[in-house]
Amino acid sequence: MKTFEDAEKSPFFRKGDIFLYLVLVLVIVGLFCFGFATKEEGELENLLVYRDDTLVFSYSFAEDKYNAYEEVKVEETKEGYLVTIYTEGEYNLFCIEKRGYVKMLDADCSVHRDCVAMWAITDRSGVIICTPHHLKLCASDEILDPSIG
Amino acid sequence: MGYNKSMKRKAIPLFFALPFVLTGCHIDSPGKTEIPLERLKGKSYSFYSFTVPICVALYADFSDIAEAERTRKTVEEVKSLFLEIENSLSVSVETSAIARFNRAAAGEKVTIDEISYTVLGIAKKMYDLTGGAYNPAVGMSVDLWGFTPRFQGDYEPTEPYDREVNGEGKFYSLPDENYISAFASLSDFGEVEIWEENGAYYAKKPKQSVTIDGVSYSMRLDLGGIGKGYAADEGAKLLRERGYDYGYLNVGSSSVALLKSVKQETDYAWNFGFRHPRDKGNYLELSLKDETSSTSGDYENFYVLNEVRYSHIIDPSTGRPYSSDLITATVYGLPAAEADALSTAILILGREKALALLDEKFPSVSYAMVGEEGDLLTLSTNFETYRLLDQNMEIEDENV
Repeated sequence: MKTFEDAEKSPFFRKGDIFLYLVLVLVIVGLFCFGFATKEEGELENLLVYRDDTLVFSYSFAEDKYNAYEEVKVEETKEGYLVTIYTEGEYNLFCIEKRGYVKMLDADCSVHRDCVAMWAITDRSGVIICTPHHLKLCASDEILDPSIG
Repeated sequence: MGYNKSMKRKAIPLFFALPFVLTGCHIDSPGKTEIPLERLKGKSYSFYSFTVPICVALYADFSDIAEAERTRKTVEEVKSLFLEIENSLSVSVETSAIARFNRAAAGEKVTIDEISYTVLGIAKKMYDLTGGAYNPAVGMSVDLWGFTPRFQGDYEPTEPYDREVNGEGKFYSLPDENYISAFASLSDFGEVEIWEENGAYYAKKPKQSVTIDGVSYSMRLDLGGIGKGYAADEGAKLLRERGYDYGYLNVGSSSVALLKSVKQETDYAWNFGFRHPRDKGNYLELSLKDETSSTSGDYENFYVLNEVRYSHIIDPSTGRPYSSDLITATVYGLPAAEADALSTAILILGREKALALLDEKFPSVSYAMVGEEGDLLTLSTNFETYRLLDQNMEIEDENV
């Protein structure tokens, strides 16, 4: 049985301890890197709604918090929110699902209602535009690589 | 070794000149300053013109208040430029040269402005080069089929040929065949005359007109697409003149003028995406900088009636929405205005005739066109390097 003196004399770190700590550090670093690597590039973090260059509504998916800067109606739903934005007596209605999904559901902007036909926003590159109402729904105001078409 | 005092005297002025050489003191062109890349930050500005969103993305040293203000003023200049062009070309601006031309009687001479004169000159050049496949004299047909700006707001039938819409804003029926063929006969753009005389500019409408149910109609022009391209060209020229080398100008995603990216690792090229015509995201990406590009597609402005897609792109030979085997075409290597006209012509011609046209008249132009047959999409392109993102898309050999 080891005595106190034996314990005092033994080295603070043994080779085995060092090996264990190294393995632990590598595992932690590895998990950290894995988490970054598998995070979907362009994952939806925010929704920004602009009329021309003025921000009228914003939502943070991480905080589940929204800010309405103008005449906006927000209703809570099971999946997230239904947001109605009014522009000179006309409207745009879109849904926000907390899982990271934004879709224009309805609008009275024009005969064709192109904004309702646009793809849902599910990542940072997504944009929905309602031209008659000068509205732009986007996930980021960074300069992203341009697209045509 | 001796010490040469004469050499020392000659060296002293050089010694004092050294700091100036090292700091690179030189006369810059007005408004152009050499700012280290790491100090450049990007900012995008949005506004609306030609009924589409415009994005001006610029990199500048925004930590410098004077530079930030200069950038803001430059964007205001771009907005003013777009407004000036729109006021000249837009059919929905009553006082524009093109709106006045459209309202004029057959055979009438109309005073236009320099912008309209220039753009009509470009249109005539592309009309000739494409054998009439690009033809802006389809304004009556565009309105007949429901694609002019008046259908983007509160639409109420006002013309004898207007159709009713249902509660969802969709047309119940197709246009009357009499109007389709009558308006198609009004598209002889070759008969439009434009000229400059003593510093003033004029256009003359062809004498042809048609009368249906007692109402007389004459040619109308629609320069929407080529107008956006022209604005992209002029906007990019202005940005460069003001010393902006990094950023881009996106005109409704229909015409894009690329400057440089700030990413040194890509040799300052943008990762330029081509929007998928049937799915979300891009179908193709390539590295590109300092180029202008334009695109046309059947997904930009269309409606579906009885399971048939009707696009805003009118085939001038039929007076109907085009129906070739292509659904989108993108071009670069030309000014954006010409590229827009060419991309429209490509769609109307279809793949085989378009490839022949490109080979004969536009051998140095870069293009990508996508055809559709059922669920199968095929890409024809002469891009040397690119990244195809839709693995289900087949690549057609452009030499076949």
